[in-house]
Formats: sequence, C-alpha cells, structure tokens
Amino acid sequence: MLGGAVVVAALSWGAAAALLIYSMTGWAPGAIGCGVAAAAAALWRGRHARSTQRVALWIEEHAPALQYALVTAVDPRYAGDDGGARTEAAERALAEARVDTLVRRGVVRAAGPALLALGVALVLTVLVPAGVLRARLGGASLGGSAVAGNRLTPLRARVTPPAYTRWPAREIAEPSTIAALVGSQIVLEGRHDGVGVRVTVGDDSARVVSRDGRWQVAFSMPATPGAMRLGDRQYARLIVLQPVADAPPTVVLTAPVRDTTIREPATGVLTLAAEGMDDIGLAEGYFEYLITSGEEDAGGVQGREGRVGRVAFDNTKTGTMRASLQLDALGLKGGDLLSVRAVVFDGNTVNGPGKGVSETRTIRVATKQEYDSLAVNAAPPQGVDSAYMSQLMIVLATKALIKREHIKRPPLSRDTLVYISTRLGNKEHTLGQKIATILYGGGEGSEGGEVIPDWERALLDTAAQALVDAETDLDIAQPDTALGPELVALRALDKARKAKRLYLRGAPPAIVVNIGRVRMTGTEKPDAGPRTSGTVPDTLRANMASRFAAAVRWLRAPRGSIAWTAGVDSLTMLRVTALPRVGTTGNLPLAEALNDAVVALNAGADATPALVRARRVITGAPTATGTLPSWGGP
Amino acid sequence: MSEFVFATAKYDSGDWDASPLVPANIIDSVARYTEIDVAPQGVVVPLSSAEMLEYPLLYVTGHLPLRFTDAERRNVQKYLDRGGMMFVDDHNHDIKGVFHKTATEEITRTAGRLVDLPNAHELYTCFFKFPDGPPNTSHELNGWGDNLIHSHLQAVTRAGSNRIEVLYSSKDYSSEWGYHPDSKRFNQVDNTKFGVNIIVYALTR
Repeated sequence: MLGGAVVVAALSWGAAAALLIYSMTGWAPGAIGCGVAAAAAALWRGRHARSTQRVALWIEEHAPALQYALVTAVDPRYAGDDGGARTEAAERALAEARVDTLVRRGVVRAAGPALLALGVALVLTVLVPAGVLRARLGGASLGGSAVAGNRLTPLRARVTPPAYTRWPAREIAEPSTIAALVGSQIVLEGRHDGVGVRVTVGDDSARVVSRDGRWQVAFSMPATPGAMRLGDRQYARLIVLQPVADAPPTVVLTAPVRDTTIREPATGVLTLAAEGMDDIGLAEGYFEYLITSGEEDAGGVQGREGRVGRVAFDNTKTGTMRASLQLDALGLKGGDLLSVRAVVFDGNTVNGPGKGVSETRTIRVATKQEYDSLAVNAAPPQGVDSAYMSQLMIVLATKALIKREHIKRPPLSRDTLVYISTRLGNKEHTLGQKIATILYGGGEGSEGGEVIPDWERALLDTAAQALVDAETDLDIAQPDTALGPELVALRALDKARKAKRLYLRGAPPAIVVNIGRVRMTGTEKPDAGPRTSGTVPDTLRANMASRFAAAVRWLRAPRGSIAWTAGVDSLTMLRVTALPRVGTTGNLPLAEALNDAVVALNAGADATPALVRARRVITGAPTATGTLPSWGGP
Repeated sequence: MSEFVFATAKYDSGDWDASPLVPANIIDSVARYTEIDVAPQGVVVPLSSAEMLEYPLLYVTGHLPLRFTDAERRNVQKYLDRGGMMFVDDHNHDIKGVFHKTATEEITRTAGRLVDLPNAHELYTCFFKFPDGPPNTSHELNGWGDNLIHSHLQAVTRAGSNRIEVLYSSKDYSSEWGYHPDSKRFNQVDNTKFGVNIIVYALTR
C-alpha cells in the first residue's frame, strides 16, 4: 500500500509540476521535462517503500509498543529459529498497535499533498491562458497554444485613417470585413494573452503583442484587397481587408471655354479659371501652359512650358482657381500654339498625391500672312479662275486692238484688223465652251458633275451670254462694241471666282492602292519565326467559376465540418478576388453576392439566393445570339 | 472574314493628319508581301467615336501635343480592353519633344506604363525578321533629327501576357514611310517591311 501511495504521489507531483510550468510558460517540452523530474524525485524519495525491512522499521518507529517484534519477524537471519512463534507474537503485537491506521495515515501523508497540488495545477491551467507568466515578464517566444477558450472572438478593430484625411478614428466590433482607406492604421484586439495566436496579413506574418491582458496586432491597410488569417490552436478565422482607394481629384477648366485663334502680335490678358474636386480634400493646384513653336519642315517643333496661379486648398473638397496670363510677356510669335490646362493634387501622402488634369485649350497665334488663307500646298487653279484670267487677257488684247485701230500712224490694215479680231473671237468661243463645260459638264479636266449653286450658275450664264455677244462682234471686226460684253463677262467671272474661293489647306491626295496589281509582287522574302501560343481569353472569369464551383461542392458537407468551413473560407477568398483594386473596378456585384452568402452561411440561414446571384454574375445569364459577333463592335 | 482596313486615328489635339501617305504605303506593302485581304484605301476614325472599336489596329501620329479628351480616353481604354492595338509614332524624330512628352504621359495614364520592348520580341520575327530590333530610319542615320538612334521601341503589354496593346515609336516611321507607294520601286530595300510586321502582329497575335 505504501509503495502504491509513493507511485501515485510521484505521478501526481509530476503532472502538477508539468501543468504549472506549462500554464506559466506555455512551453510544452519544458513542462514535460519538469514533470518527469518531479515524478522521478518523488519516486527516489519513496524508494524505500519497496524494502520490507525499511517498512518494518518505519512501523516500529511510529509504533514503539511493538518492541521490535515486527522487525524481528521479517528479519531473514531469524527465519529458521522458531519463526512460527515469532510471527504469531508479531501479529498479536500489530493488532494491538493498530498498524492499519498507521499505514493509512502514512499513505495519506504521502499522496495527499501530491494530489492536492495536481488539483490546484489543473484549476490554474483551466483558468489561466498558457504562458501568462512569460507574457508578464516579456519573455521570448516559445511557441505553444492556449488551453483557454477561443481567443479569436470577440474581436475589436480600431481604424485610424491616414493623417492627411483629418478623419477621426473608428472602431469596428466583431469585424468580418474591414473596409478602410489605403494606408489606414488598423489595430485588431482580442481577449487574453497573445502567445500562440497567429496572424498573417496577405502573405506576411504580423507581430502579435500582449498588453493589459489582451492581445493586439497592428498593420496598415494594404493597397490591394486581401484576407487576414488568424489562428489559435484549432481555431481559425478569416477577415477580409477591403482597401478603399483615394480617388484622384478632378478639375474642369471653365475659362477659356474653347480653343481660339488670335492675331499677331499676341497681346492682352488671357483669363484662366478652373473648378477642382476631390473625394477627400484638395491640396493644391495650378495652371500649366505649353508653348509650341516652329514647324516640322523648318527644323522641328520646340516647346517651353510654365506654371501660373498656384493655389493651396487646405483640404477642401472643392476649390476654385483663377489666374491670368499676360500674352505679351510670353513672347508669342505667329504660328505658335499656346496650350493651357489646369492641374490639381490631393493631399494623399500614402500612395499619392493623386493628380487631376483638365482638358486642354489651345490658343493659336496666326501669322500676318495667313489672315485670309491657310493654303500651304500649291493646287491647280479652279476652272473659273483660269477662265477669268483668259478673259482678262482677251480684254487687254481687245483694248490694244482698239487703240491700234484709232491710231492713224502706222495705219492698221483692214485685213490685219479682221485677222486679229477674228482670232480674239475664236478665243472667246473657246472660253465660252469652257464655261459651258463648267456649267453642264463633260470634257477632260472639267468640273463636270459638281453641284453648282444657283448664284454661281447665274453669274456663269451671264458670262457665257456676254462671251457669245463679244465673239459675234469680234467675228465681224468690231472690237469697240465687243469690249462692252467682254467686260460684262469679265466682271461675272470675277464675281464667281471670288465667291467660290475656298480657303483650305491643300487636301492630301486620295491614293487608292491597286491591290490586284501589286498583290504578291514584293521582292523581299519574309522569314517568319515560330508563333507563340496565345493566352486563353478571360482566364480570370474561368478561374473564378472553377473556384466557385469547388466552394459550393464543399458546402454540401455537414455544417461545421472541416469541408464546410473550407467552403465558407473559399467563398470569402473569392470575394477578396472580386474586390476592386487600384485602377480597376473589380466585380462589385459578385463581391456583394458572396458577402451575403458568407453572412447567411455563418448565421445558419439559407444562402441559396445569394449563391445563385453569385453564380449568375460569374457565368452570366444564358443569351441567344442570332449570328456570330463581329470582331469587336461596340 | 472581313478585310483589314488600315485606320488612322483622329484626335482632338494636335495634327493627327500629319502623314497622309503612310496608310496607302503600308496597304501597298501588305498587298505586296502577304495574302491578307486588305482594303485598298485607309479610313480616318475619330477616337471619340465608338466606330474606332471596329478596327484591330489604329495608327496614331503627329507633331503636336497629344492629349485625349475624356471621351477619347474612355474609348481607347475600351478598345485596348477588347484586344485592339495602337501604333503611336512620334513624327518629330526627336527626344523629349512635345509629342513624346504628352503622348507617353497620355498612354501611361490611359493604358499603363510604357516599357522598352525587347528586341527579341515576336513583333520583330512575326513576318520579316529584324534580328537587331526596330529598323532605323533615315532621320536617325543622317543626323538631321536628333542624331540619336533609338535602340528600342516601347510598348504597353496586356496584363498576364506579352501581347502588345500600345506600340510606341520615337523613330518617326511616319516620315520614313510617308511617300507615294509607286515610289517604292526606287528603293533598293523596301523600308516599309516593318509596317507589314506590325499589321501581321496585330492581326494574328
């Protein structure tokens, strides 16, 4: 009995020591070592319980009335000499001395404290999280896990937006999603000590610290959506990090309202005005101008730029900018282009500043030579133009003939007069035909087919009729009378040509390649390399559909099972993928549907409608198309 | 399959029509060297119009600042998202000029960051082989322009693949190819071959 008590006491001491060490340090190997050592010490201390003689001596020591009868009875040296009589005497003495009570008391003394220590250790272990002593002393991490309850719930998140926003901090209780501006400082806090609590933000481990009996983890809101994974022994939790991007500011240039052209020299004041807006607050803005000079054919285009009207906005959501440009001071020359635009910045010091620019207004300085024409490419004269020139020459020739006719010396012979006059008449005839061609079409190089406005047709009709009259007079050698109709025709042609003049840049030639003529006539030989395989289009959507299907399959497992939990976590991670990233719109309908599904699943409600909605967003509703779509129509 | 139509992009700022002869010249070369069904005449398509989405390749050039309006930028983003390709050529054959500065800024803002296109890129081998990368232009070689040879073209590639969305050139191919196609017979070496590569790449990759 005493030996058993020693063994029980040793085991109890060992277990108590192990539990106490473990609850204080959280270090399992150390705790086991200490327990084994304590048990071994207790066994060593009680090793004499295995010796009959030592036990008999212990009894004789505590029961003097035995007067060594028990020791003598168990002594092997006296085993052969009247042993039976000594045994009987010893049994009588033991009965009288109430040795049973003595032994029971010894057993209780040996095992009682040990069992009591074991009980205390068990109570401490249940009530106090593992490693509390190490945490209090700020000791090194030794690993291990708590035996307290789930430390991952309840949680509390404190979100402190970036300083430039001047927004107050806020708290979120039991967050499943933390939505905050990129760069916000987030402190997540849970109950009890943090030893053994594991937290990863994205792919990085976060440092868990213990403070005032609670664990905390601090991190910045990343720029891309992600999941925060928390682990505590068998417990795990996912929290979605939904970054909110600080949108870049926008600005509208309200003056000048349109592009314009000014004459050289460029003088005066150009008023600039703009309205800026931002979702959080504007920091500053200014007007930017760019002056481009020169031409391609004259050695290239040069540019110079500057800024005016810088304004500090003090974090207001809207702001007005005004400035003026002294055109004289800019040294603008004919042909220069002055481009102006407004630029604003927000106060984003985390991943900014965000920049917004307005549309550009361009002020062109016309050269003195181009006030009425911008023609730069030579083009053949229009038909009416050449007719006017021809008629002018005929008029001059007719005037010269009249002059010669009226000068007596040297006298102009009749034959010469008839010859010259008839020749001029033929020219008028030719010119009349040209006018008729313009009017009614036909002939090489004609303008036939053109739609001639009525006013031009009237002028050309007048000219044509006058030309017929002039031709008639010239054919009968009466240049004096022919001059009148000639001048009428000249004035009509002049009016027509001036009214029709187009002040356009020379149009580029419209080249139509004769494909049939040049097809495969090239002399250079191609040498194409191997073609690399292309990427599967829309892999993101296909990937999402695959992940969604897998998650739904896992959700068929019993609620609370590992597979079911994996399904919920997969939906949560899929939602992270669907959240918008910087510069993209993401898939918000899918993110919302998945969030509804996860909330419903965690609450034990029916998630089917949300899952159907999510599937519809991913795969799309089936549609019927009559024909194959074109390459990329709108 | 519909025929390929060479489209020149028209934008509100700058001189988008600075190289009117390039389309015909490239169309001529495509017909000379390939069996691609090509339209005999190019078209001009405003970037602000949804019509631009109908063409697989858009040619953008100019000397003056290139700045998109909001509508142009939206269309260009939609166009690139749908797999279109833009070839933007600085007609100034200089460096850090106004077109270069504004165009690269606008491309970065609209499509993404421009990076040097490796000279081993498939663009240089998809039809004719250009083992040294983009062919040089006469402007670069005679020193009349910036007296500097641009060793690389730049590009914005599609996320997740090496496919070019925006091809940007400072080499001034617009001047190099800006002549009547009938004059091609006077060239000892056809300098528009690289234009054929761009078309083939845009249509097949």
